[in-house]
Amino acid sequence: MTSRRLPVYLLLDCSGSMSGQPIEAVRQGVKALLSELRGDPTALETAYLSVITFESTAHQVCPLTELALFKEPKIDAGGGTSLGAALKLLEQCMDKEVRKSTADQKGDWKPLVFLMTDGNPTDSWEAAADRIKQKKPGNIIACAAGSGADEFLLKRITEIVVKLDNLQPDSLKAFFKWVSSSIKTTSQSVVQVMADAPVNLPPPPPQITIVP
Amino acid sequence: MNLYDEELVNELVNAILWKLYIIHEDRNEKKYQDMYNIFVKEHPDRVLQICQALAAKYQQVFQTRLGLLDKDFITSQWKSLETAWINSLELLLMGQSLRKDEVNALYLSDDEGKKFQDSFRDVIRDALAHQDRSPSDNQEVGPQPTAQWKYLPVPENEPDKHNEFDARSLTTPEGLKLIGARVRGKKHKHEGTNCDDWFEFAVSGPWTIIAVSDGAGSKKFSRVGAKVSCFAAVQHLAEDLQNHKINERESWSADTFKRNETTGVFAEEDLEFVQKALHKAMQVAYEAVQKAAAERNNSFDHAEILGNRRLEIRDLSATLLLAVHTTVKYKEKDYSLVLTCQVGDGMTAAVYQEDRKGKIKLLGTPDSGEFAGQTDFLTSKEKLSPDNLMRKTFPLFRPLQALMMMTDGVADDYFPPDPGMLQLYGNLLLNRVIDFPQPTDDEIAEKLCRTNLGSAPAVKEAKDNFGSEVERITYPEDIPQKVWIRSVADYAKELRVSVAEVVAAPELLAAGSSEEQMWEQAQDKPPKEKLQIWLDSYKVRGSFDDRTLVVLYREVV
Repeated sequence: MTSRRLPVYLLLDCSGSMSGQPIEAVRQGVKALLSELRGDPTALETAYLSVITFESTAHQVCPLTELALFKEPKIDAGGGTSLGAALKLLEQCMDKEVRKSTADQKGDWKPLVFLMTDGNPTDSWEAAADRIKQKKPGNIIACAAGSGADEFLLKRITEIVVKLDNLQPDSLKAFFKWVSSSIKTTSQSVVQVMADAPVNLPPPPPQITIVP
Repeated sequence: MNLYDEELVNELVNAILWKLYIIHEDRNEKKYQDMYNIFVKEHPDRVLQICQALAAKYQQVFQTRLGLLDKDFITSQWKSLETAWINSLELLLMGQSLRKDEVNALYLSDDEGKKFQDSFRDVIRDALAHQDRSPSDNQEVGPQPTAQWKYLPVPENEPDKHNEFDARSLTTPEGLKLIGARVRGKKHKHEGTNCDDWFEFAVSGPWTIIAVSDGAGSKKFSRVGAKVSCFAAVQHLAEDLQNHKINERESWSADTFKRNETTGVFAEEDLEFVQKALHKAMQVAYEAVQKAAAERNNSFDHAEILGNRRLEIRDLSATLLLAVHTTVKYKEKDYSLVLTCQVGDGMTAAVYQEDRKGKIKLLGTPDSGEFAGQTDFLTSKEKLSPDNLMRKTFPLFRPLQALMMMTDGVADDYFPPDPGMLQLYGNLLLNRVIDFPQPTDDEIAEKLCRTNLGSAPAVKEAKDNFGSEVERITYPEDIPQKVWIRSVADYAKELRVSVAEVVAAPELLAAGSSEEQMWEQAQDKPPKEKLQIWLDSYKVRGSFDDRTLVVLYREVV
């Protein structure tokens, strides 16, 4: 009788260009996201959260954990932008953590992935991106944050790409707020429709534009 | 200052309340002032925490007053702030220049005042107890404070208002007991939306007829589809089967139920008659849904709720499960003959006994549980093609303990259905929703000594390992508020005996259910009410749906 979970992966760019105010805003953003989601009983029983950070390499700083037990990760900035490593790690984590349906258990809902990056990848990432786009292991929302990020490059990973004007604390705050409402909406809709409904995102705030 | 010292903290809380002009203590003024001075010097971080906690509470009050939050959001203690509001405003405005006699005038001495003080006391206590965490040390975090499920009644002013729950029972011609209940899922309670499930049953001639339906959660008027389809199908079957009798046979076997491989038609005419009636009932139910949709197509009230569009048949999307039961004499025993048919998810299961073990037979195909588990609804003609319905029609012939039919809200909680359905039945027994024969103490003792627990006192000792108190999500005046819920799976684990053996052993069931009842008055309540309370109470993580369960069983007299 294990219940169906909504796995949520946050892939956060922690490269050197994020240091200072932006990385602090990311920390605050994760904090706010958690407290927001913990206030919603449906999300609380459905959503499971994992954080993967990437700079010169990629780490899963938090494995997939239920919200009530989630510990805020240590997030520090410095190094390059190993997007390729992050995508590879994402794939591995999902293989390991996301439950498939069998005759004896109901599998997890389709995972939700939020990728945020502020610059261009510094490793080779194309193969991993192509594989993910083809396999579609979850609904991936990629966010190009600030002027240094190339939103069109992210289209190689997923169809859903958004652009964040800048890396000001307010913009990042708005981004995380949007992420938490997206998770809430999704956790509501999966339990309601009881089907693999296409991801239905709430309208983004003014700081975020959807890249067509 | 040691903040782990209980007594000291009590005093400190009083000192803080005094400092905030919330309690009035002339005698201790000096003591409180000294204590507070030490506290603020030694623990400025805690003072900050208290300020933040109070500010957060006030923020909720502001948000409630200004309409951002539901009134239910703030607890009753904080509701007293509504009355204390003016007083606190005065207090804030006058601030430091307050004269002592003016302050005294602000203290509240009545019950409201007490509540007001207690609410502050609680917040301050919590804030004091809160372990401060430096940002670098984030390893030791216990469970976080989490959101609570709310209870909001169903909307009053929507068209097609249905009762939020139902519980019914009747006795069948052959003396079997039929009980059914439906309850609102916690998500619907939280959001104040309707229960979308429905069930109906009836007896007609030698037949017992059951219908269960689950309205689509995403459709605002699916409850209408659920209700009208149940009504129409049961009515049709009652008319069709009233004078139909199954022949007594010299021998019953798999051959009796032989079907044409391509058409699915039963070779035996009396059986095929029943199948035809079931399929016709599906058709009639679909037409009833169609009619209900057409009747509401021009309704302004419905359109308004749908976001200013006309109601269509898909707005009434609902599943439909049907079962008909009759008793046939065979080898001088009572055999149950059951035929079921279903469109969409949900489950029907028969429970019987074999070799002193409970067994189940599923009369439906379980939802495969794939990622894309889109269910069918009774809203399109294709679902009613003979081909489709034949594949979803299941016959059963054997002596039965019980027949259970349920919506997905229950079936999902007991996935996979094998052995989940047996656990469901076991839970009905162990929580005494359904009665079983009462064995003697000696019989109980004898049976228990062959289990891991060994004796009745040991079972009593282990009661928290297979039972727990559950707080219901219901309106504050409802009785009971708390229910003791047992789990047969956990009980079987404690005994180191299989669930199948437990459900077939009244001795073990009696031992496991002897202490606490579900709630104090439970034993005087009819089974249908116990079923309803049990359905409304048991907790499964991630179980949000409305729950409906109908059980046909032999009552113990």
